[in-house]
Amino acid sequence: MSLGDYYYEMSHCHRCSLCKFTPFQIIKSRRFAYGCPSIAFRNFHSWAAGGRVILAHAIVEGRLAEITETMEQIVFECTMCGSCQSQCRTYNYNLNPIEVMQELRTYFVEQGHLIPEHSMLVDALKREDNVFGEPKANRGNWAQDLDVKDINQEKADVFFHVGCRISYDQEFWQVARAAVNIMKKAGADIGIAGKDEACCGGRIYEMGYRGNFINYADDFLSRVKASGASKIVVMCADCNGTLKEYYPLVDKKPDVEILHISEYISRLLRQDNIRFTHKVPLRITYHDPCHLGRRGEPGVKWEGEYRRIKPHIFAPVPEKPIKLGLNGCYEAPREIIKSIPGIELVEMERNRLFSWCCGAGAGVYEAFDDFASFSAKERIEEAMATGADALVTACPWCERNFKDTLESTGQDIKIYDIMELVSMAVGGV
Amino acid sequence: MSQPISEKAYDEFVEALGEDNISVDPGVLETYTYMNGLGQAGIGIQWMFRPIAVTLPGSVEEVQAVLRICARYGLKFKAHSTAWWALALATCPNCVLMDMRRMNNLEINVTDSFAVTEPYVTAGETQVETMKYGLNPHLVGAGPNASNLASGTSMQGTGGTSVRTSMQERNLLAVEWITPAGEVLKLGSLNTPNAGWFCGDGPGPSLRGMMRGAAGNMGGNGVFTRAALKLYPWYGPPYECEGTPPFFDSSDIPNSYLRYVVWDDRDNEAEALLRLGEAEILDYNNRWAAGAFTSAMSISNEEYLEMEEKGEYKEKFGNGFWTFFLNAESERALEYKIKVFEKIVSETGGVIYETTIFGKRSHEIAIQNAVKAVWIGKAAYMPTSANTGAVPFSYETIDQGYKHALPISLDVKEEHIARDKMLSEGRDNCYMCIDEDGHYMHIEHACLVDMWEPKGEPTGACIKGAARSMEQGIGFFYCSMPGSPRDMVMYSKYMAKIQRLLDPYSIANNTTTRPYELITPVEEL
Repeated sequence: MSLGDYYYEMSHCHRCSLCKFTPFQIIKSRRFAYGCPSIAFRNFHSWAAGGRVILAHAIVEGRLAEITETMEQIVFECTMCGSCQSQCRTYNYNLNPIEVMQELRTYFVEQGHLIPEHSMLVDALKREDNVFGEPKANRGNWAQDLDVKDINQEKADVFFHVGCRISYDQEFWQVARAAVNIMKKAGADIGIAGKDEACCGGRIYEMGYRGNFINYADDFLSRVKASGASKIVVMCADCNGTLKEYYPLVDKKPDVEILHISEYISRLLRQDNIRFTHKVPLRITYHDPCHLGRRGEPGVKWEGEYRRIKPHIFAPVPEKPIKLGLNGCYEAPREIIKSIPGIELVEMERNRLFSWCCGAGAGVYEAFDDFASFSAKERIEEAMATGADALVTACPWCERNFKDTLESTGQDIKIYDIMELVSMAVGGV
Repeated sequence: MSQPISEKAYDEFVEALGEDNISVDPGVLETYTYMNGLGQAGIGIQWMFRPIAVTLPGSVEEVQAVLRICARYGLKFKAHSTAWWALALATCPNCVLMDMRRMNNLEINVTDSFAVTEPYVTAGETQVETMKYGLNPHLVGAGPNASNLASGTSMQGTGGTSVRTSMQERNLLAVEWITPAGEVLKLGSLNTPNAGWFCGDGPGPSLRGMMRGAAGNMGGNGVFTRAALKLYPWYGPPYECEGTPPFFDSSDIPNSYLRYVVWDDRDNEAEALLRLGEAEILDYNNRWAAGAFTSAMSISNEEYLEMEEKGEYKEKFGNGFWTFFLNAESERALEYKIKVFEKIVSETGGVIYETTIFGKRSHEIAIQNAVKAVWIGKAAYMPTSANTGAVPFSYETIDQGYKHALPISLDVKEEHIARDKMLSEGRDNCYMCIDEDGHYMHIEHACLVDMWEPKGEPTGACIKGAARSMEQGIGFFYCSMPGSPRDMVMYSKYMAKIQRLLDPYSIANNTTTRPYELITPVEEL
């Protein structure tokens, strides 16, 4: 699809502003009524999904003589969290703002309108196969001396992929090692790629580098195939969203099961292969990472066009799957949390499908740090409003951004990855 | 086309608002140029005038500064809230738009039952806060995403709850108003030290009748920065809803009664509405036909066509149907209301249906309309996504509405449908509601078009409908009084005169087109 292929969707936006809010049926307070971090930060309509769709429309219609730096900022200062997509369609069945916004990013990159920080990341990725440009040889250091199969040498049933953030951010190593031990103890036949693990490519896809992304998808799939694994378990929500939603969009759907670690652990719990024996006396709230939730919904590639099916009625032919994010992963992490003795779960007002984004995604953490902090601060305030002692998430990018923001704002709340709670509940491993 | 803004003017805007709150970038301006909102199909174009600048004032002082800079440099201005309306954007060159998003404070006076709201507070946000205190604001039919201040100060503001909560224009108490000359006017009690916001008529000047501007209402006389709006009782706990879109799962509302009603005979229907209004028992009402119901019930155009073909809704609701909601302070009070309701419906030959008649979807649509007004807009736009929202917009007595306004609109629609100029969805797709316990009836006939449709011609239907209603003296187009424009010539002339006084530099980009000023020589004004 190219930008012009979305002309129907661009020209039918209603300018209703619902993309800026959480659905009015379910809002519980004014304080937490907004849904889109981007417009909440910049205030101009341009930074809402509706604004970006109009910008794309203007470009396609040739109404803009040149692309300015401000336009680049409008397009890329967005975490692609998908809140707008879950809210849209109130006045037209066939609008998919997130798809238009993704295509707009790809168009900008193809036209050479790049964000310098994103270009640096892409260069680093090409060089070292990770988004930080850290030495490729160090990728497996997190698993040093860990008794786990090397997927490059041995077959395993579970291909455990930790992702760039965990591989190179030492703060996460302990929890990744614990995850391996917990799964092994529960009887899983697990293997890792270690130093040969490479980025899934999700970050650069969202930055608009579709061509490069396909290379990483190919590389990832060949490794999965060689491993003989029946399932991939990912530790990072971003990787989860990439594998489940984005790979199918470029015809790279893995033919094995894909599970986020929280889904796998909750399955082990249901099968009674894991037991939580230790109390964890905490009052916590859970943050749904976008790429585990609404952007973790399995993607379906659609190719077709909008046709007149009756006078005044146009529809995508063939029928286009409706993507609201309903099929994301929301309950597995909650099942885990609720199974841990001593834990009290209190929900934030914006939860599950309508979770507020942490602010780290789609290249925002790398290029727009003030916006990333703004979004995280807002989420931390929402967590604190519940009276929770801790904010728990299931994505290392969310956790990193929350922790960085706490340092700058001085807000006082503990941040945990869900696997840290699991580790405590099984008595440490 | 707008000329680029002068460097000097831009610098002044930056000084007044800060660099982050003004943009002249063509990309930003373009995003304030396209409009496909309420009623846009009736205008027939989507790309409006590109504004010369977009500003984000955050205070009264900043609004004054923007207006004064506009006056100094000969620029027009227009302010909007969520902009969910066809004419919210620039309709002339060299216009500075004020996106009022940064002015979004809300205060609730529980004791005296009113809310003081800034422009960007939506009706939905106001409601979620006031319900915590057993209070409910008026919600316009456009939906909870509309600004309460905008509907109160610059429109008429009708909606399904108007039967109890009146039109929003009538809920205005004190108002803070910045005239185009940059002067702050405080209307009603706000003008008296320490008197607060409780009254729009004094002590202090009551200028609400003239603040809306030419052609009856819809602004142009400045910027409204705060307004106090009356709140009404909400019996029971705050409305709660869980689940997933589009239909969600509403919790039951204690001491409430929600039903669909159908009458076969229009005279009986009109009599029932008069009596229901007089009985003062209704908290929400709206009339739809099968077309609107199909729009609301379906989740894709394909499903819409399947439902239409099946004909189930047409069979039950072919002659139109009403949604009624009763909410009471006690079981006994509800019992009384229901008895009265059922007696009137029965005596006028109406048939009452449970809202679950077509399953969970049909119930959720009813309850979410009754409490949140979220489905009226959807039903008016699916499956084409555009609607003239006219032919005509009528505001009449119940009797006149049934006798004249509805037949006019049905005829105009039939003529246009016959030539594929608009969607054939059964001809009758009329939205109606009675306001103020039946004193008035609002009639708005959805005329669905897709702007991609080569034969689509929505504007002609609007003009034709308006002309025929003028011929018959039918009130139309959200003017702040029931009556035909031909009866309001003098009123509008005076409004234009007032506007000249308030806007000495002629900088307002009216949402209407100042018709009387344009056609009347200045010396006659």
